[in-house]
Parts: sequence; C-alpha cells; structure tokens
Amino acid sequence: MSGANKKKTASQRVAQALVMAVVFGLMLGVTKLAPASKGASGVILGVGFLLLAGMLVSEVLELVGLPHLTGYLFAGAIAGPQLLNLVDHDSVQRLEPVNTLALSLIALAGGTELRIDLLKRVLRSLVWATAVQCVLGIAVIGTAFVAISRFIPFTAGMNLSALAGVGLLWAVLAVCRSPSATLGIFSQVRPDGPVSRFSLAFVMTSDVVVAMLLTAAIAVARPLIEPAAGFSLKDFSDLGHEIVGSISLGTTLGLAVAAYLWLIGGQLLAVLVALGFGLTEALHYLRFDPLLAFMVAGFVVANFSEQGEKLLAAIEETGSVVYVVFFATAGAHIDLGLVRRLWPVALFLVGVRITAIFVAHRFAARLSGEDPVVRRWGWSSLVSQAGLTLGLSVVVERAFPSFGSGFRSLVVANVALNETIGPILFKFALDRTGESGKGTLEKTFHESIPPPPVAPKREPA
Amino acid sequence: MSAVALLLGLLVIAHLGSQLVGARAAGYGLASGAEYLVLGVVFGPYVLGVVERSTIASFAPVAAVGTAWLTLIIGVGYGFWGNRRVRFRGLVAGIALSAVSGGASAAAVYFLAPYALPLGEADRRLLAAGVGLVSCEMAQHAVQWVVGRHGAEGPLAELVGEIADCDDLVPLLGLMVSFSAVRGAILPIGVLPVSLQWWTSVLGTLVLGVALGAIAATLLRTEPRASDGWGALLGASLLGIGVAWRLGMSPQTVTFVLGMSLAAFSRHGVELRGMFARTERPVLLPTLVLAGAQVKVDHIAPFVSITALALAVRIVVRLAMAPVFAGLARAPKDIAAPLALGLLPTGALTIAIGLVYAMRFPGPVGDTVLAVATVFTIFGEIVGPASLRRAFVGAGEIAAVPPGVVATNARGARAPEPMP
Repeated sequence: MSGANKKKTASQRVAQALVMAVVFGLMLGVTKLAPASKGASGVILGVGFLLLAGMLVSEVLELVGLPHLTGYLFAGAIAGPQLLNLVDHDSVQRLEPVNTLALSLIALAGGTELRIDLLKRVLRSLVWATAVQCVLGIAVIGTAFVAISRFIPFTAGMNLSALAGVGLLWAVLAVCRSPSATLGIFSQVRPDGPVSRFSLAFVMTSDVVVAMLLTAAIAVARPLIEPAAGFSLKDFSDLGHEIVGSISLGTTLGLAVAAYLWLIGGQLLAVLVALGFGLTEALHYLRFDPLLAFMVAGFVVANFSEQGEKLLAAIEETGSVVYVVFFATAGAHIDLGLVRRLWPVALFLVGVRITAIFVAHRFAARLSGEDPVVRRWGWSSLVSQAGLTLGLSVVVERAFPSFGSGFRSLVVANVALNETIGPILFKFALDRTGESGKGTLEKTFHESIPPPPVAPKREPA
Repeated sequence: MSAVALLLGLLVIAHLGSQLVGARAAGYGLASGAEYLVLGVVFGPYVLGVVERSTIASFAPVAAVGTAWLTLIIGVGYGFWGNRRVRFRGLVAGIALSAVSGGASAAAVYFLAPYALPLGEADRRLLAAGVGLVSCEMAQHAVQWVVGRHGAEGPLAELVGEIADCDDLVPLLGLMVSFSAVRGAILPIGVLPVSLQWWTSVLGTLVLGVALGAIAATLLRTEPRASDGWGALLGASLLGIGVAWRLGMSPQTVTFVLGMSLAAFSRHGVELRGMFARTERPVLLPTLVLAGAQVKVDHIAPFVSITALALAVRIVVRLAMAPVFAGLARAPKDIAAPLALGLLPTGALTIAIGLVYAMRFPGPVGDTVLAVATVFTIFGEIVGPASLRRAFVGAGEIAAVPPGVVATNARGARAPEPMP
C-alpha cells in the first residue's frame, strides 16, 4: 500500500491488527464450515484472502523494516497448503491465470521504465556487469555445485563430466534475476538514484541474456551428461525463433497500445487486463516468451511515442493488487517440506551465489569506473530470484528427464531462500543509500536522469 | 478456439458495434447498452452457435464475479443522486415502486404459472420470486442518459433519478432471501453449501457485508487517496464473494451491503463512487454478452406467456403509480402515461439477477427468469428513454425543440454532454 511510507499511528496499527485477526478468523471459520473448494470458488476466495492477508502481514513486517514483498510471501506461505491450508493446493494451482496476468503487467511496467536515455547512461556498467557476472558467477557457482555434489541426492552415480554438465546448468540458472521483485520494491519505496538506475537496467535486460545462456548451456551439457548425444544447434534455432518472434510481436503490441492510447485512451485498465489474459495465451501458443514480448511492448510505448506516462500511470494503479497477488501466490507455492529437507545444501548454494554476485559486482564496478555508491550497493538487487528462474528450471527438467525432477526441487528450495533474502537486501541498500522515497516511478527514471557528463577539454600543452 | 480468445473477440465486436450503433441511434433516444445483450443472444449457442454451451459454462465464475461487482458498484452509490444524498420521499418512492412492482409480478406469475409451465410447488415459488425480482428495477442509466443529453432539470427529473437509485434495495434483499430459503441447489461453481438455517444465512449475508465494508474502510483510512487502496477493495470484495458462495449465500447481496457499508464508514466516499463508476462499463459489457448467450431462444414458446404477463403487470403498476409521482413532483397529471412508460427501462441489476438465477437455479426456472429480464431490458431501452423525455417536456423541465436543434433545459441553458 502506498501509504506505507508514512508513519502510522498506534491506533492505525491496532486497527490493522484487529482487521488481520478478523480476516484470518473468518477464513479459518469458513474453511472449517465448508472445507470443499473444488472449482472457482476456491480461487476467488483465495485471491481475496491473499490480497488482504498479504497487505496486512506486510504492514506488520514493516515495523521491523522488512519490505512489503516479504510480507506478501510470508502471508502466502502461512495461508498456503503447507501450513494453515486456508488456500489449498487446488486453489493455488488454479491461480495460475491470475499470476500470468500479474506477470504480464509487471513486464509491461518494466519495459515502460526502461528509457533509451537510461540505457545509454548505464551502458558501460551494464556490459561489464553482465560479462563479469556471467563468467565469474558461472565459474564459481558451477565449481561449488560440483564440490558438494556428494550431498545432492539426484547426482548420485554421476561421473565427473556429467557433474560438470549439471553444474553448468545450475550455474546458469543462478545468474538469473527477478524483474518482478525489483519492480515490486520500486513500487513500494519509490527510489531515485544511481543504485536504483543500475539495478533496473541490469535486471530488466538480463532476461534475454539468461535465456541465451541457458540454451547454450543445454547444448554444451547434453553431450557431457548423455555421452551418446551429440552437440546440436537445433536449440539455438528454437531460441532465435522465440527471441525474434517475441521482440517482433512485442513491438507490434507496443505500437498498437500507443495507437490506442493516442486515439481512444479510455478503459485502459480493461484493455490491459484483456491483453494480459488474451495475448499471453496467444504467445504461449506461438511458443514466444510473454515476459520479453510485454517488456518490449512497454519499451516501445515509452520510447517511441508520447504515451509512456499515461501507460505507466495506468499500470501503477494496478500495483497495489498485482504485486500482492503475485508474491502471495508465490509464497503459497513454496514447498516448505522440500525446503526443510534440502535446506543445508540450498543454504550453502545460496551463500556461494551471494558471495559470487558480490565479488563479481565489485570487480565489474571497478572495471567500468562505476559510482562508489553503486560499487558498494549495486549487488543487492541481483540476489532476488522468482518466477523466471522457476520457469527456466522447467526447461531443464524437460531437457533432462533423468535428473530433471530432483534438479527442479533444488531450484525451488533455492528460489524460496533467494526470494526471501533478496528483497530484504535490496530494500536495505536503497534505505542506506538514501534513495528510498526520492521519487515517483516516472520521475525516478525519466526526469531525474542527469545529462551525461561532458568530457573536460584537454588543456593545451 | 479457446474460451478466453472467444470472449475477447466477442467483446471487440460488441465494442465496435456499440460505437457505430450508439453514435447513429443517439438522436433517436436510445440509451446504449442492450446491443451487447442482443449480440450475446445472436452469437450464443441457441442462435448462430458461434459460442458453444460448454464455453459459456466455463465462464460461469466470470459472470458470477461480474454480477457481484455490479451490485458492489450499486451499493457504493446507493442513496446518492449525483453527489448529493437522496431525499426521504425519493427513498420511499423508489422502495415502494420496486416492492409493489416486484410483488405484483410475483403474485401474478405464482397464480398463472401452472397454465404455462408444468412446475412443482417449490419451483413455482422460485419462479414467481425470480420474475418478481427482475420486475423491481428502474435503470439509473436511462434517467442519467435523458437528464444528461437533454439537460432535464426540475423536481420530476430529481424524483425519477432518486427512484431509480433507491429501488435496488428490494430486489437485492429479495435475492438474499431466495438464496437463503432454497438449500441444496446446484451452485455455478459446484460447491455444496453447508446446511444453514435460512435466517442464519440471511443474518450471515448482512453481517458479512457490513464487516467487510468496515474492513475495507479501515484499510483505506491509511491511504491518502482511495485509488491507492484498490488492493483492499478488491480483496474485501473477492473474499465476500468467495465466502458467500461457499456458504450458499447470495454474493450479490453481500457485495451490495459491503458497498453501502464502505461508503458509510469511509472518508473517501465521493472518490470511491467515482472510482467504482469507472469500472462499471468494463464489467457490464462481458456480463451482458454472457447473459445474452445464455438466453434459450430456441425454446421460447413456454416462456412467452409468462414474459408477456410480467411485462403487462409491470406496465400496469407503473401506470397506477405514475400519477402519484407526478403529484409528488408537482407536475401536470397528463404526463402520467409517458412517465409510466419512462419508468420501464431496466439495466445492469435486472440482467445480473436474471443471470444469477439462470446459473443458480438451472432449468426452466432460471431460463424463464433470464428470458424475462432480457425482454424487459430490450423493451425498456426501446420505449423508456423517449417516453421519459416526453414526460420531462410535459413537466416543463426540458424545452421542447425540433429535431436538429441543440436541446436546452427549462432555464434555457444548453444541455450538457451525455453521460458516459
């Protein structure tokens, strides 16, 4: 809730606590009276409850300085099938279309935030950060994975080359970030400054990089894991089709949205919802990447028309719903039993990943001559992982059915930890750098970007 | 073709059709809206068959949430005409017209239904109640349209506006009682309700609505603008709809009470009414299309007599009450006939109740109630606005002007733009 940045009075806190008790009590009572939930009623009830519970738990956690996203996740985990079962497994599965809609709006917002000015300004940092994060991150995380493979159940019986292949896949997934978590924090704290600019540009553009890396990793890992299989370029052809198709459709969509905003402009929210549902389905059917397509659409509207602010304002209005639903559902999805079983390995791998991110960032920032504040805190936004990583783990599972299921379980456990730790770290960094609350989303990245520094004229000798 | 793509396609066609028909028909006194209903009928499984029955069934939850959202909007704005509270006499007149109209239609259908449809006693009561509920409303949109387009201004315009606002209470309370009294019917989402006593269910509906409205208002209190609190509003509404369904109560009444309670407890009342009003059209259009698609026009014969009977009773009640309203507004008695016909339009609430009935009580009862609601809506849109305009002209609240001349109100001021 936007009002969260203001100090709340004691009476407001008491009222919120009472409301939380009533909402949880009502839900407990209803699930006890009528436990059957097969069908849409469970979904409707689930979304309504997760929205209220997410908002209320986030208000409570705000007292100890935790970001709202963490509150949404906690609410989902507490209410989900693993703990109180207020939102049961069937309902959580049926929430998928709602999640799809949320993700498409988040991607659209992300694309709208990316301005050419911003990209030009941070291009040098972006290139260095991407290169170093990928090379160093993959090397360190892959090695760590192979080193502790004896504690990982699904690698039992694999030889060293197979382990190297699996380690490579693991490491590529580890360099994946979470655009939704980054934008969720932005939506709450409204930051403005070099760290937030760097984070936004890096996290948003990393989607394409990771998709390409994963395709390459699968092609390289296949002969290592399955010696009978040869090196194939077919995956690259599919990836090219997906990326080019997504960008093309995204561009067309962006132009269509801009034209709609220019010519009609009304009922924008309904149009966005229709696009979120309808187009995502069409994109899935065409095997394109909806996240990339929507991001490109937002980018086109923001940079090649004068309708960017209008679109962003409409999307922002949905923020109080979209992020709560998305992350509370993610919380309900967390398999706590799995995390309990795999936590020692998962914790180690998360620790290695964070260390690798930190070291790679410091190194890259030094190479690119980055602002000291970015050098110190820029890594904090790179820890979060969420839906994108889980989606890519499904790709690995399909490509390698022999160990894919166990691999995916470990990814789920890791994402659960990164999803919890990441937003906390990023918000902490934004608070420490003083960037929190310094702007609105629009102002932050469009109006407040300082002009590029003019190179000083060399004094004549 | 996927259900989502189909619905979106239909909506695009409906939207374009509305733009064309709405613009052309504006001069002839038609308020836009029923074209979506007709479109649903034409493309539905019983005429052209573009949309299959299974597809329509898969949209039952969407329709159910849509109807509950419409009643939430009605609840938030209940008791207000524009930005002022309705007067006591407007409130009484609205409730009286609604109760008499609904009661008379229900009684007529109860006694004459056996001649038209072979129904058991329980279904007969249910049918009578359903037809009564869809006979109550007079659409606000029709009044707003005439007032907005022709600049009607005066005591009669105010009274009719207040009646149109206040008559929604009766059918929604009636719906609550219908849902509570009939246990064990198949719900649109296949949930078996727990066994609650009817009075527990009625009490539960009201308490749930009030409590969730208070919760939403409490959460909004910390927001500087109500529009920052969409999460709280949507959360409370969906929670109310879900709980009501699971317990076999009427979600539409829960959200209506929720809306009233929210408007009463919140300090953002004016802003809330504006916010919710903006969401009405995007929700109403798919609801109308889905409702139209569910009308079984291939088996219309058994419904014709009941529909004709209900329509006749509705007209008679209005003819009987119109002189009273004309007297209340100090208008000439000779406007009673056009005023009576001007009170005929029905709108979102009638279609919502018809659709809810068709989903909650599938079979002849639900089908008949939806058919009656559809006929009322189409007939009302054709007859109502033009008659209402004549009544306002007769009362001297619109200056009579030849076609093509810009309308002015009684004081000679130019009419404002039509309401969206």
